[in-house]
Amino acid sequence: MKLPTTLLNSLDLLRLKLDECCVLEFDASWQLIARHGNVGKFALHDLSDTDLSQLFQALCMGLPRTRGAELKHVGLPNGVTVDLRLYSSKLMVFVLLVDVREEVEKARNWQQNAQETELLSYEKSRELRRTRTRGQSLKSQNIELRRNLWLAYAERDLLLIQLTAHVGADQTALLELLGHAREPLKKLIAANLGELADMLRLCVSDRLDIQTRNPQQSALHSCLSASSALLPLLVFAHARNLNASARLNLSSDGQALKAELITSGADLTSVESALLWERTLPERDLSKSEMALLLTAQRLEDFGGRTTRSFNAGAGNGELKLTLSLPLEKPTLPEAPTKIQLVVGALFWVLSQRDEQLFAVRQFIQKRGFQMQQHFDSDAMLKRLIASPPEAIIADGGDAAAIKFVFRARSEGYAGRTLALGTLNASAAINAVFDAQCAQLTEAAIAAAFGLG
Amino acid sequence: MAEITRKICMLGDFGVGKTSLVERFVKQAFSAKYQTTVGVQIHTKVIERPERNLKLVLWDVAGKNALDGVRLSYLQGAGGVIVVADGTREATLRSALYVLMQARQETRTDLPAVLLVNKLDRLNDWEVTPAALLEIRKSLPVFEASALSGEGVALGFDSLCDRL
Repeated sequence: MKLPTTLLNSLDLLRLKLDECCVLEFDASWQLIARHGNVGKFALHDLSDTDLSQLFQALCMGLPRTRGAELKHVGLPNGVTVDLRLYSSKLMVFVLLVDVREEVEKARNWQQNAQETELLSYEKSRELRRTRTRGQSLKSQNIELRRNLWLAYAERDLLLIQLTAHVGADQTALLELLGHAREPLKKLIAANLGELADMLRLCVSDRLDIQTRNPQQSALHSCLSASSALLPLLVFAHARNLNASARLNLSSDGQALKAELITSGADLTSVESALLWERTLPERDLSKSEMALLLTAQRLEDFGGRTTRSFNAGAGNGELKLTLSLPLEKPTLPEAPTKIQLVVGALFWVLSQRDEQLFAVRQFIQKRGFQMQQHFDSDAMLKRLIASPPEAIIADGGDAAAIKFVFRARSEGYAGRTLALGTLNASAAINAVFDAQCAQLTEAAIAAAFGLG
Repeated sequence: MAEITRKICMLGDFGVGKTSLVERFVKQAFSAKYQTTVGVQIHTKVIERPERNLKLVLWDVAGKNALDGVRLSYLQGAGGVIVVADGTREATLRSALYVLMQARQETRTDLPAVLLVNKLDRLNDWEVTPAALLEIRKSLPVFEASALSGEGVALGFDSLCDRL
């Protein structure tokens, strides 16, 4: 047996003895000549010369014999992992096999952990992406459904308006249109049916000068242009100033539709303000504009909307801007208030002069880590409220001054939660501006009224 | 009967199912447990042909998104390449095409190759789009396969054998 010097030098460099590794000797045509070293360690002793010839010829295919070659971490078909080195001498080929199973197993453990972690994190990130996509899809479906609902309401209302306009004195359609209008309103509308039908007819035939702020909101455009919720506002604009061109600017943030009606003319009269925000009916008969505002308020209430107004006396003949915010869904019923999230430190304003109410509210607020400011009606307080609105206003529902303050806050743009305390059989006025009422002054009742469970 | 031997290298990113595809092709078996490959694992399979049998020596090379020096040494003498991608991970398709380009550059030959896009059984989770595969098909045979069910596996290997 004569192994080539290069091979022996390699063994020295690797600090290996021949019985720790295996050398297979082949002739130039890959016929096995001899097996050297510890062949048994590599589980090659059972293989025939032909098998070994074929296997190593295939393994060394393409490897340069003269320059020597090395293949690291080769898993043989018999399960043994080796480093393979190729040497040639006098037309003979020598294949040196070094057992690296231990080294490879260590590397495998490390590599397996690293790759499994990476695959797992990829799977998780994909799941997260899917969830986000699903959420976005559901959100857009939700918005689409709400739009469709609005359109359906609008189409139904328009049909009823047209029906009313055609049949004139038929009360059924108009009363249907007004839905669950409260009894005094129904009577009033019934008494003024003819005039009302005329106004509605005017609305239907009128050209609506509608501008959308965002061209992509064309769906809103078609939806709102047909919506009867806005038609009374246009009647109002016409009734106040027939020469005025009512401008209606529409926008949407996905949750609510916002409509701004801008007319030239004087500010709202006290009767109009009372009609719009307090639903207080005057003793005398209503004018056209007042009737229109009454209808607007009714429709807004039906859809859970809110109105704010601003008046710019400096702008020529004065400019009255009514802003309507209409949620893109039917409002939830008062007995099932929307759940709200209140964080520790949230600020409440309390409007009350009654000790028992203040005590109950203080208990409720302090136990939850909220803050409380006690106020009463004043112009300075109203400015502070608009500049820095609290999470919610809690007001004595039996105190006219407190209710008036909330009305004013609403009309000035306050959009937070409001809770009326100590009210039974709440009036239409209270229903209009308060999100919830609480008759019993217990902590549980107050929390339930706020939807806190 | 006379026999001809050809070396085929399986290349692609880790976890795409190269070992599973080989196991399916050679042993008609599948293991759901992920077992990483270190270095290269050699398998052989004889394909019976009317004229002469074809002995495939399959080099299942450890997965990585690029070929380093060690992996390039495995390519010497290769008669063909099967690049594997995971249909549920779009990035592995780019890796597969990249390593094929590297392999062809290194061997300085137009190595016969096919692309196997694995995990057809999880088609609902696929990130690889039909449009992307259609584009690749213009320059490379592409087979959608599943090592789990065996669908498309033999077809891909046979296609490469026809090109050797």
